[in-house]
Amino acid sequence: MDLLGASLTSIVQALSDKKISAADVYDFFLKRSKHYQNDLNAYVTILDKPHAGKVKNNILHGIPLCVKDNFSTRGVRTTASSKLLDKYEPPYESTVTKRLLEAGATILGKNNMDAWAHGSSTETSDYGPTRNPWDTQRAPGGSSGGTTASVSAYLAPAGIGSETAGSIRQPASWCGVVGLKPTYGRVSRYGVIAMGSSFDCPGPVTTTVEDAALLLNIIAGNDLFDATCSDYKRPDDYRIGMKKKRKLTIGVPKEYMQNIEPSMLKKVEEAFEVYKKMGHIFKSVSLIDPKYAISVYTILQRAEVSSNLARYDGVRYGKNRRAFAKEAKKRIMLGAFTLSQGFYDAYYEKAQKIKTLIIEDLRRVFKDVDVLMSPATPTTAFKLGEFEKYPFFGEVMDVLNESASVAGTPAISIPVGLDTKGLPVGMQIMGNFFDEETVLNAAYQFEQETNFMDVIKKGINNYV
Amino acid sequence: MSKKASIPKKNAEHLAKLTNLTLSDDELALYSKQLGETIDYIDNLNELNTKNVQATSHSTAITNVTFEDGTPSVRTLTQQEALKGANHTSSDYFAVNRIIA
Amino acid sequence: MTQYIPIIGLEIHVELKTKSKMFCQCSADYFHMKPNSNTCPVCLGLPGALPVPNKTAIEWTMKIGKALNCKLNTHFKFDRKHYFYPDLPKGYQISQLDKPICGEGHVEVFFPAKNKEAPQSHVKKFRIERVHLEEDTGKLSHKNSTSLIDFNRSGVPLVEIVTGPDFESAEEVKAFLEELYTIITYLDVSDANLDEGSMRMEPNISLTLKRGVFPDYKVEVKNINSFNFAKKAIEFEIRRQTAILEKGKTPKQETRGYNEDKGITFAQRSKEEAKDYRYFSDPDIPPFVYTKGQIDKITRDIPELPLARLTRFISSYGLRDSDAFQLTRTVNTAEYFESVLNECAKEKRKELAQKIAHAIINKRISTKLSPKEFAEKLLESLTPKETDITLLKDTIDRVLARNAKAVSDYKKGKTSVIMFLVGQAMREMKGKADASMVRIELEKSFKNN
Repeated sequence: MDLLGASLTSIVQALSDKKISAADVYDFFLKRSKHYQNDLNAYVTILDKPHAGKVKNNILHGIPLCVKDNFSTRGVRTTASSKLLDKYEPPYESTVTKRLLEAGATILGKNNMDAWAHGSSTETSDYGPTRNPWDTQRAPGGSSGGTTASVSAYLAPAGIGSETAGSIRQPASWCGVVGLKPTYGRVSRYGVIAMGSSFDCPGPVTTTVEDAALLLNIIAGNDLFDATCSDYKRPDDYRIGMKKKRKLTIGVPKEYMQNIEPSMLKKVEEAFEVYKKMGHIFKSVSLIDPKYAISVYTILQRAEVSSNLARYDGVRYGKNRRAFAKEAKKRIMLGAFTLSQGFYDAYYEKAQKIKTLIIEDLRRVFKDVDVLMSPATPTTAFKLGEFEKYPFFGEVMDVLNESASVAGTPAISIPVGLDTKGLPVGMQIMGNFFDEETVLNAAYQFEQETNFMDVIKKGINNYV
Repeated sequence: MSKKASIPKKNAEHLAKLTNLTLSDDELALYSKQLGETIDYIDNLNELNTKNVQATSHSTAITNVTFEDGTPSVRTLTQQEALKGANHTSSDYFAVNRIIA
Repeated sequence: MTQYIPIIGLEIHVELKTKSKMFCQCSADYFHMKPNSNTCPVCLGLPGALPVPNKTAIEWTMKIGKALNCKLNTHFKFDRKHYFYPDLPKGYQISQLDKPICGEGHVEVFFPAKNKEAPQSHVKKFRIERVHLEEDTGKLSHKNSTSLIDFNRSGVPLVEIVTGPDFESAEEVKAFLEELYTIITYLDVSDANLDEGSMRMEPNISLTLKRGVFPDYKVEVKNINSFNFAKKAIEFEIRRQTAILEKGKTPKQETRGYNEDKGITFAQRSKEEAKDYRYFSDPDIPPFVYTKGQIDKITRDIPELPLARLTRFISSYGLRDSDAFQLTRTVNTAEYFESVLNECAKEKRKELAQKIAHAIINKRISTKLSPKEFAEKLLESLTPKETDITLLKDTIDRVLARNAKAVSDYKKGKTSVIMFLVGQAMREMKGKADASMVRIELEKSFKNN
């Protein structure tokens, strides 16, 4: 079997049919990962021997995955791309990776990320930035940039990232791959090094929509170790709903079509045409201006970030607090500021009320539409180093993603083409609470109609 | 709209102490400025009327999540596992420089 | 000398004896375990670990609140309280701030009649401001230039009880703490042992010239681990603060430690910075909403509490105040008393109640016996004994012959020695004699000799 560019689903099938061995598959991706590590710096740790666990229900037949380095992997170095945790080996496994290992997957490496997930370009990593496979002078986006770059350059057939506000969708868009942020509480956070506790969502990064659905099947669901994880009903197999022939009503929020890079906007509008030709209905809708979501997110997330970093005192593990780099220190200070000075009373509760407004706004809109669509990011990949110019870079860059993050609704980013610079353009599809099925359905229909794997393969071909 | 206010360095020092960070003078100056920018940024929240709006703490409206007392522990670590990551230990204990008072 | 009135409030922490810790399944019974052998990612504060609250801990906190006559809140949540200390693994403690499980309440404490100065028993009410639930920290110990940390205790459920500033003396504080101890052991939710640390208390003390007028300072005292030390520390503080005030100065607002060897409080490293704990709702723990019905159901099976029970003992059985008080100090003793009473014929209960009380309190009869056996033994001891006079006279002759010194002492005027001789005779008679009769016969013997 020619592995290069093969979807996770097809490799799993081949493994199951014994057309190829798990060892050969691992070897293939291990070689690629190592070979391109200097060019791309997509990993913090590459494992010569697979990280595996007790297999309970062998769905994945030994397929190797790459995992963002904020997921605790037992006995395997986990750093959150911070030198503070340079030598830290968790004595326990995160729920997400545990479920994947129990399903027969293995882990090939831990991906580079913005340190502590603080960033949108993977440039705040203490291990150097990851480079965008489409143009190595450019950033892959962040904070799951190492994961999306790995999948984009096909160093692994799929990976797991996490999103607090845009950290899966934005780098997926910049790297031209599929990135799904499930509903908050749909996937357990237990074992994920916490950034913004009310926002963090683990999610799959893949080359096809079906692969994302397959991984979601394995990782979604209630967890007794995470009190915020929901036991809201879920389909046994997301792929079934994904494949249904449905005509959708698609809302386009006009606030989300503004200030977009022109060639990006053009590609997204072309994508809309594809849907229209397929018979789906479009509606122009209005949402609360995304700038409010930025402010809400800023206040809530910073307080949580600052608090979540309080445990790193160097007593029980890791180095002491002097090992924090610039961005982490800044966020700790900003977060502490938000919580002291009476800011809590003045702004925190206000932010939580606006969160209610954002949730209600989305619920209202989803009464009339099945999904919302817009560009996933305002621009395509920036050049490395440009983020320094913007003090609130992350939060502004993620403006289109923040309402779904604040509300907790699911959303996916899919590649819909290349801009005039030849860089991937991502479109986001947002759905209602716990309605990943419809989101996947909309994405799948577009993929089947246009085969965006062609887009992806263009990227992979740089890495042969 | 931007007021470009800055927070007094003393406040930044106080915050650094609270958060157990050792900052250089340059860093303190930088953060003092950035903290001020934060206020500008989030002032726009006051543009929205939230008079009769309830605050949302958990977006998926979950409540009353607990576990049954006495559930067997499957996560308790051995002493070796617990101490393994520490920089300084002293036989069975984590060790730090003597705390006064 | 100006008469200052003490204003004392208490902050008490009670370790719940649940099976599991507050936010994880590690054992809460950590006391004799090898250090750092009872932790998990959650209570060790590892990256990525998350808390899930212990249901029983919440329910027991409600019960404590009910026993303290508190408002039981239908909406409550957990908050993060931030500060840095090596024994605090997450850099914050999960506690409760503005929406605790229990709101305001009160405790009535019974003060039995004591002596000529306090001939009447009385009940005094002390306010409770709040009762909330939080987690315990690890334990710090010191060895030369190193501090050692054991996290076995980290995460054990801790109930915090805050009283109003209602105490005016060390006596009142001691009585209150003992009553609280009794209530909590009645509920069987904690060992509440000051020695072992399952109950800890910190008084805050200031002095005023006028009741109701609060001065602008308050002194907290830490590290008190017995009821008696609490009393001593408070008395010392009152003296210390009085001396300062007499000089026209104001005592410093501070936290002081207690030195049990010297019986004094001492200044600790003063923390000038106002404590800014940066509280906010813990996003990892969804809030709690209970209906009143649910709370009632949870708190329904509280045993009859000490004060109610002692009041009932006094009114139903005519017991003396101090005896009723003694009997109700543990729920086991109180229940035993009533079990014994119920073994007696109904018509006799009122008359026997006081005697049973005495027998239990003075340990005349073993409470290890079943209530039925206890009752039988008591009744037996009360029955006047048939005495065989002939046997008695013979016995007395033998006893007097054997105890020549006692006899000569008695004749010399040491009449109290007769009790010894009564005892000897009773022994010989194997109890089959009425004591007063024995004494009469002995006295007769002496007269005749």
